[in-house]
Parts: sequence; C-alpha cells; structure tokens
Amino acid sequence: MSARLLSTELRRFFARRAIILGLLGVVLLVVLVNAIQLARSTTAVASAHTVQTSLPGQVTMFSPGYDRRIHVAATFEQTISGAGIALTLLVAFLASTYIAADYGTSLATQLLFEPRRRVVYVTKAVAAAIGCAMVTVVVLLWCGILQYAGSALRGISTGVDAAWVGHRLGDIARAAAASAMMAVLAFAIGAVTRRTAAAIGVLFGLLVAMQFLRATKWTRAIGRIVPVNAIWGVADGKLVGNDHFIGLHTLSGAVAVGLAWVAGLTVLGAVWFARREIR
Amino acid sequence: MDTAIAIRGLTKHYSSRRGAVRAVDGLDLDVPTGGVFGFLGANGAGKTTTIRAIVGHLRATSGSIKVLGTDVPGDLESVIDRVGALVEQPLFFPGFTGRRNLSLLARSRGFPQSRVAEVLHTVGLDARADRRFATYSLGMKQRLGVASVLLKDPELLILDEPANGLDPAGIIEMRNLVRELGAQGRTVFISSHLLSEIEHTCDRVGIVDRGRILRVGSVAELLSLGGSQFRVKVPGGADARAQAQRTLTSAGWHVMADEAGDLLVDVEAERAHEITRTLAADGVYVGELAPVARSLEEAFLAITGTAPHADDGHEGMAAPAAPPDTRPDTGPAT
Repeated sequence: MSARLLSTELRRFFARRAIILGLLGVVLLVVLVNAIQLARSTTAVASAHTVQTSLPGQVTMFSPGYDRRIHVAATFEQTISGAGIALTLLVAFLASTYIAADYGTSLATQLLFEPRRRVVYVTKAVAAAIGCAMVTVVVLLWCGILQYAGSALRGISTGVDAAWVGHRLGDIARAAAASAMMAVLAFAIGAVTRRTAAAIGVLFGLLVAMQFLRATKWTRAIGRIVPVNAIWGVADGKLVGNDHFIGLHTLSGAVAVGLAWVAGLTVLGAVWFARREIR
Repeated sequence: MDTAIAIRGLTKHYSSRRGAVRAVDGLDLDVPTGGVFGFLGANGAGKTTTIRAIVGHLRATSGSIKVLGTDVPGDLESVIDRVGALVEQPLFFPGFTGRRNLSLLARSRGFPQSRVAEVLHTVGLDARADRRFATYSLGMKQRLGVASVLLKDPELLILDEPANGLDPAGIIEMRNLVRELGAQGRTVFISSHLLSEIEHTCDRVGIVDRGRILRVGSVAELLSLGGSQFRVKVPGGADARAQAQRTLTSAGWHVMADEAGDLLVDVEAERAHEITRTLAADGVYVGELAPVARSLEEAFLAITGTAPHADDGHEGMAAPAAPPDTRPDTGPAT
C-alpha cells in the first residue's frame, strides 16, 4: 500500500454520494436534536399552592420543579457513548456499500491500473477505516460544539476546562477507533457478499445472534468473541458492570478482541479478494 | 517476429448448474508487435474470457500467457503501465464526472493530471468531461473507456468489442482512432463479432470458435481461403452464355450462373487466363473477366461453419469444432 494509492482511495471515499449524504444527514439530525434540547432547556423551582375544591376544604398542590438546562460538561460524555455506538451502524453501511458499489462500477477498471489485488484490498479497507473514523470524529465534534453553544446560550457551561476537553477528545478518539474497526468488519463482509444489502443483513444477523446469546449458558464465553459486542464495548468505553457487553470486562479486552477481528478479516479478505474473479 | 501477446494452451473451465463449462479450450495465439490484430468470433466463442485472463481479471484453469514478454498474471504489475485495456463495457463511478473518474485513475498510478485533459481531447470528450458518467450515452461511455486506456500511453491496447453500441458515426470514429493508434507503432488487439469492423480495421485476424483458435492470418489471406472465384461476362445473349458454360464444364471447371446470367468460375488467380483461352478455342469470346470479391463473412462461415452474429451459446459446448483440413500456412494458429 502506498501513500498515493491511499490518498486516491480516500478521495474516492469522500467523493461518494452515500458518504456525503450520510454525513450531511447525520449533521442535520444533530442540529435537530440540539434544537429540541435547546427549546427544552428550561428550569423551574419547586412550588406549592392551595386550590379551593368543590367540596368543603382546600387542597395543597405541589410542583416539584426541574432543571432541564443543557449542561455540556455533564452530558457530553454520555452523548459520545450513545452516538458512538449509533455511528458504528452508520459506518457499517458506509464501508460495506463502499466496496459493494465498487464491484458494480469501477473495480474492473481500477484493477487495470493497479493489478495487485491484495494491495488494492488493504488500501481500500484502510481508506474505509480512516474515512469512517473521520466521519465519527466530525459528527461527535459537531455534537460537542452544538451542545457547548446551547449550554452557553441557555444552559450551564461550567466545568468545561482543559482537562475535561482532553478527556472528551480521548472518548471521541475511542469512538473513532470503534468506527474504524466496524468499517473493516463491514468492508470484509461487503467484499464477500458484493452487495450492500447482504452485508447489512449479515451484520444485523450478528446483532440478533447477540441477543440470543444472552439466553444461553455459553453467554460469557461466546460474548467475548462476538466482534460487534467488542466494537460496541470500545465505543461505549465503560464495560464494568454493564450488562450490554456480554462477557467483556475491560476496555483493553474489548480492544484486543476488536483488533484480532480486524487483523484476521483483513488477511482473509485480502487472500479471498486476490483469488476472486472480477467480471 | 516479436510477439506482444503469446498464449499457449489457455483453458478456462467454469462450474455451473449444468456442469462444467469450457469457455476457452486450449487456445494458442501469437499477436505480433505493431499493427491492429483482430480477435474475431461469435458471441460466446471465448473472446472476452481470453481477454480477462490476459489482464488478470480471472485465473486460467491451465495454460500460459505472456504479455510484452512478461508472464501474466504473475508479473502483471511490472507490465501493467505498458498495457491499456478496455474489457466489455467501460465501468466507472456513475456519480463522478468523466474527468474525475480519469483523474482518480491517473492519480492511482502517478500519471500527470495534464494527461487527463489530453486523452479527453483525443477521444473528443473535452466538452462533456464535467458531466456525470451516469448521464453519458453509450457512445460517450465507450469513448471515456478508450480515454482511460490511453491515459497510460500504452504500447499494447486491448479493446474488447469497442464498437459495441456505437451509432454508425461513432463506429467510423472508433475505427479511425483504432487505425491511427495502430499506425503509431502500438499494438492494438481488438476483439469483435462484427466482421465489417475487423475487415476494415485490422491487419491480421485470429478467428476463435468454441474457445479455440481456428485460423490466423492477414485479412487478405483469410479472404482467399477456400479458393478464388472469377466472374465471366459473355456477350451475345443466353445462347452464348449456355455454350460458354458447357465449354468450361466439359473442360473440367466448376461453373455456376449468377442471377444476372454471368458465369462464376472457381479458379485460382494465376490460372484465370486459362478461362479465356479455353473459351476462345471453342469460338466463344469473353467480354469481361473479373475476380469475385469474397467478404470476410463468407470466409468466416467457411472456417467456422457458423453465422458470426448468432448468439448460439457456444460457451459451454463441450466439443470444440475441428479445424478445417485445408489450412494454409498463414500464421501460428493452433
């Protein structure tokens, strides 16, 4: 893989309509969610007042009060975890459609210019991983910027200091890494199935299988090796005491499982792709 | 003779629900360096499968291929910059413009971006280069495909059915372009099932049928296969023509009359003068003696025994056609 090939693939990746529209759609969705949060960013103090009823006597009504103000320092960490997991689903689509669309369009032509199939596969997989990680970073930074703006305008902006920013950037990097892993996984499935829909179907099957795992006696053993489980664990970052991530106990364990899948699928995918006949 | 492409015993089997399919069956071929070489065969004869094997899109079941002296697909990487290929329909990203598609291909091999404008101009697409590929007509797509082939300024061009889907004007443009490329000293290997294209474009032709090369030679050589024929016009009406036919038949010539009443005599060119002598000796004088031009279509039919345009599903037929017995020394055929 050369820098020139990788740069070409990244240009292809970001020039695709699916990527542009997908990113644009998520950016607009974030704006919408933040606009709703901004509108609901109000506070009320607890109060009590008496009401005259139709029967003799009075009733005292209590209103507990609330504080729904946007507070970026308190909520953004959770946003990164939740949105990070959701973004792995988006990048699964982007990465699988990236290679699946290539089969139907320009792959045969590309191979007339770069016939080293394994190099082509690895370059495309790396481009998909980098591209999807960048999409995740952009979306999460956009979330952070809008939340901070909302906090400054109609909420609470305290607690945002250099240490907090450093931690959140670390969280974003972790979510981006999860997206990159999911991209390689989805890319490999897309390369085999040659169809975006089939690749998404396989990934959905993995998610369904994960739910069934919860009811088996091998839950913990199998949960440790399910790639989507590991990747979501990386995106979330907090595995201890969390029932959602079956059998995984530490972030480093989830990362190790995820990376093992990435390495294994890249080798298998590249070998398989090199032998595949292109029509 | 230097060879641009040398194929030995190329075989490609596919598995299908109907069993094993032999798309290419022990094909041998030498394409000389320089000029335009036509790879002629009916649909399903094995042309595209052969080309796909040459450019590494599929792995042959057996056999060897050398392109510009390099083994492929093993060392294809070392020779790919000297080979431009267009296999079947040109495939590009439909959402990208023609220019962007070529630009990305050029970037992937480190060719200068200025080359993109040059090749777009060569194929006459510069005015429409900034439109999305999906909006291109079939002819424009084909031209963009040729432009992508020219990006490398290749020594060897492999064009698979480049005239497919083109209108008559486009076919003539493509024909002129291919001739021009061949005249520049490049080797152009062009496959087609269109006999007129091959006849008007190529210097040499290889006829492929059911995965095997049946004949290789110059267009003139192929046209002369099966012997030549001369038309004899005899003045003096039907009686004179009947007498001439009797005279020639009794002298041992194979003679037929055409619709106009002229006589068609099977004879080698170097013996044609004997017709006039035989008729004159019997008091019949020849008004005109002219060779009958055979078309490549007739030659093709004579060689393969099949119509060239028939989509008869040759691919998959188990028994390849046996080569004809009369094979002139016209080239390195199988």
